Amino acid sequence: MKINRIFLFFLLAAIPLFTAACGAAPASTWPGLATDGKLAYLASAQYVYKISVSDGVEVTTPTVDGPVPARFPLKAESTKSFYATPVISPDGQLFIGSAATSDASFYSVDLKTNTVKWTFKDGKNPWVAGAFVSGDTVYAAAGDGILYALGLADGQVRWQFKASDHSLWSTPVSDGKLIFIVTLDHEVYALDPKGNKVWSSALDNAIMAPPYIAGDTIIVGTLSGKLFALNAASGNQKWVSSLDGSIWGSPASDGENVYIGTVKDKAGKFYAVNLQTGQITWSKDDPGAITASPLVTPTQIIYVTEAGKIQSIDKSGSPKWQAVIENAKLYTPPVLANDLILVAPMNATFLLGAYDLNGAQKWTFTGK
Amino acid sequence: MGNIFDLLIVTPFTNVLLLIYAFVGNFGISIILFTILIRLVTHPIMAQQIKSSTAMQELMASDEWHKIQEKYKNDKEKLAQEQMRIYSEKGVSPFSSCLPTLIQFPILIGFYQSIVRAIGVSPLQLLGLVRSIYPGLENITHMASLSALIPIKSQFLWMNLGQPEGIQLSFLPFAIPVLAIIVGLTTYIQTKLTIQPAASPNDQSAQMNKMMSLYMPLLLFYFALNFASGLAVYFIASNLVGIVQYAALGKIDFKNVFSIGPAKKSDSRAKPGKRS
Repeated sequence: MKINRIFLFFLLAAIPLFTAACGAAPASTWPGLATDGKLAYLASAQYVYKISVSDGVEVTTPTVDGPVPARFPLKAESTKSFYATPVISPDGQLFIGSAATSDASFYSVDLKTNTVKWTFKDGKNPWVAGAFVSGDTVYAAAGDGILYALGLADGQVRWQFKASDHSLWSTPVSDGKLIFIVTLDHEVYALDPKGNKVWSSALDNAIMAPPYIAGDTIIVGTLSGKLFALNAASGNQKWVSSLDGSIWGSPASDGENVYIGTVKDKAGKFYAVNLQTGQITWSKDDPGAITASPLVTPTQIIYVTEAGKIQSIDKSGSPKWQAVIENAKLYTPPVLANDLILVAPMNATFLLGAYDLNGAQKWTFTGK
Repeated sequence: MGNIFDLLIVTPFTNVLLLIYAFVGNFGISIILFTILIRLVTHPIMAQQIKSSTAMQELMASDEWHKIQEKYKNDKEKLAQEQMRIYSEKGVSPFSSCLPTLIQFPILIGFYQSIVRAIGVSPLQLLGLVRSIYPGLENITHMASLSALIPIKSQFLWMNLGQPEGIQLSFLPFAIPVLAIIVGLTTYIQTKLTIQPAASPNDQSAQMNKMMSLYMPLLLFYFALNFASGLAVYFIASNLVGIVQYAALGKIDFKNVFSIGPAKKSDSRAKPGKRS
């Protein structure tokens, strides 16, 4: 009797433990954030929210039953989850792929009606990367390692390029001439607008974030902490700079220096690297790991850390102000919307926060 | 608590798994080899569990046990005292068959978590993985360096070990979860083969055995259906190695596989209980 009870206890205890152990398997990661200046688009778990930048209030749609949040989808579906950076086209479409294994589809959502315009289902694996729009095409980096060029109006495949056997996690970028896509298996590809490979370059380690384009140069970091500057037209290496820690985000630049943070276990380091030479201009240690790309404004550089800190510095690296979100983790790159800095924390009491250029919190959005 | 478990179990397991992967270059085979390794390391514990369980079963089948059950059926306190006396006399501990299970649980759960971590299917999970890798790992083999390990090649046979498995046939609107079905079948077979026979088909342990042989395959089928197929590979390997282990210990009764009810004692194994 006693033995059976003990056995039953262990069996029942094992179920949630196994579930907890397995629960991490489906893709889940930090939120995706974008803005068009008026609205912020936040991809967080089961919704893509539309939030007014001016006051942090979620946009609503009038219905016969009263206004309802104009989020996508209208009601949470267990088969869908969203973490990629949303992209908005000039004709009012929102593009995002689902990170759920059960429905790894790429959606076009009409922002006026908040309805799905078309769905692309050939991506197979969960979508982590965002997309970019150019002309009548949306370029989407998929979980099956393929970069798809889809018609903006109909979602039909114009061309596709197999970049990797692994999932593509980085959003493609373009300098207007070539399209650049990077992979976890160390490759940088440059494609022409028809999807033909112009050049490729194998770097030393996995590449976690899209390149930064600075004129005729693309700058990209790897997990080994190396920051590479490549000629955008040829892929030839201009310089390489070895940083302490691993690089998880895209660099940003003010035209003089390239700014990038690194991860050194739980800590981080923030760097200014000369754009022309690759020489380290200055660096500063930070107690929190820095995975997100920094935000460069004309007057300050803002980076966020895993310890929940928003840090503002000037071009010499001197601190200007900092704000800390209690118990939060910040992995998503901050974005600038008018004069507000938007951050999307994890583990915080809110999903999105707005701070002015002096670090004062203006509003928060909880998603409720 | 979570950090200690991570430090002592999950992180070391993850590193061993990655080290095996660095040598064999195939994550599916790494999971299978590590499963065998874990099963071998925990084999003495399992053998002890079987021994204790068998002793317990024999005790509960003895005449003396049945007599006190009958004699003190209306006096629970006295019955408990008598049961403890018999345990003491026979040198059997009612907990001795549970303790090995208790020790194995953290190992099994840690192994699950190390597989999930090593697969790293999202940036956040990969960040956790990179932090878990011991700095000295690449000194053992250069193939265990970060640049060689990341990204883990998660393709094994027809499946992506980081995704749930299913074979899509053109004429079917859904994918066939081949691996989940194999998990369900091997779990059923292993459970039926290895469950210790109950003293009586009507007692609680017999009912428990029956529940186990039904629910465990369903539970693991559900996990295999919904989670990364790397876990399903682990389930299958673990089930098959478990069957081999039981066979090596002479504790398998193949007749049980085809029986619907609780596991029965075969003649060759039905030993009389020890009498005082």
